[in-house]
Amino acid sequence: MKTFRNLLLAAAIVPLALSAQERFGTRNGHIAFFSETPMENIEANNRKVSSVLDPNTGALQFAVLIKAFEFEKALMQEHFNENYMESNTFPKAEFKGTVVGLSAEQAKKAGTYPVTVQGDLTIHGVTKAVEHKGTITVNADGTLKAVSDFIVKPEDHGIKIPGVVRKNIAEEITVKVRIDYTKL
Amino acid sequence: MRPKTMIAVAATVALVGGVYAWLEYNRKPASTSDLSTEISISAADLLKAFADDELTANVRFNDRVIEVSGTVISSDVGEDGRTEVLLDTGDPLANVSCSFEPGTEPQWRAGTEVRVKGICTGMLMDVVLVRCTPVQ
Repeated sequence: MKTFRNLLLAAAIVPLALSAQERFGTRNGHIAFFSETPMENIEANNRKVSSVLDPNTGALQFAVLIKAFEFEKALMQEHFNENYMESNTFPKAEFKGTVVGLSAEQAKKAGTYPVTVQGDLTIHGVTKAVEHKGTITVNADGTLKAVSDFIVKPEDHGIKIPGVVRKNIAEEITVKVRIDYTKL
Repeated sequence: MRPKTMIAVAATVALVGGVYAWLEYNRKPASTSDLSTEISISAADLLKAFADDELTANVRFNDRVIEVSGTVISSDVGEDGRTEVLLDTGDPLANVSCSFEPGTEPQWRAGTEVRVKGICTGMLMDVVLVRCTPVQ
């Protein structure tokens, strides 16, 4: 995680005169996930996602604290942290990769651009190479909005679901990413 | 014990157990304003604890109800109506970030000295508190 802070530090000390080196970031990105089964639906929201995007290189990084996911029901949140995600042992999830489809020039021009995100997603201490589709909207005020919906399988990250609740938790979890970036 | 009595006792136990299970299943997370403060600390000291030894700080602070004092850097309302407050730590790159519970939005301006009660969840760029409520 020090790498993540170092990236932010590097972004902060880059001279503003080098406008071509502009980077974007947020501390309040939103990631939600949904598990839908005939037994019950489960939704959780995390509004404290940290992320940095560099349109010049395409580098994208984000990180979330597992304990910052909020559930409607307390018992679900307890089971999520203690039994499945083991958040005391694996307190963070992280993505490091690149965005393909948004050039530095496009990042200065209002519009919505389809992008592909490629990289390594680490959840529950298990890293897996992923590739997902999404869009990045460049707003007139120069801010960016990144949107992506994708599927994560708990078993791909070594998350074991006990048999007694197997029917309550979907084998494929839908993840929705909504991140508003401002210039750093 | 008579059979009728046994049936009545078993039915009562099953009913009580069922009601308890239903209530427990549907239990909402407690409002932070109803929880007792476990640790009081300044924003600067909280950041220092995580910066010095994150693993130890995770054990000491995460999931705890902590009351943090500090100076407001910014107070913004997100798209979902929740107030997000940053508290100054003295480090220009790392703050204490507080996400407030719906309905407990403080009307704070930058520079105000405040106290916030929330649940600590760890550190990314900032130390992150969720389900926050202002302390009067």
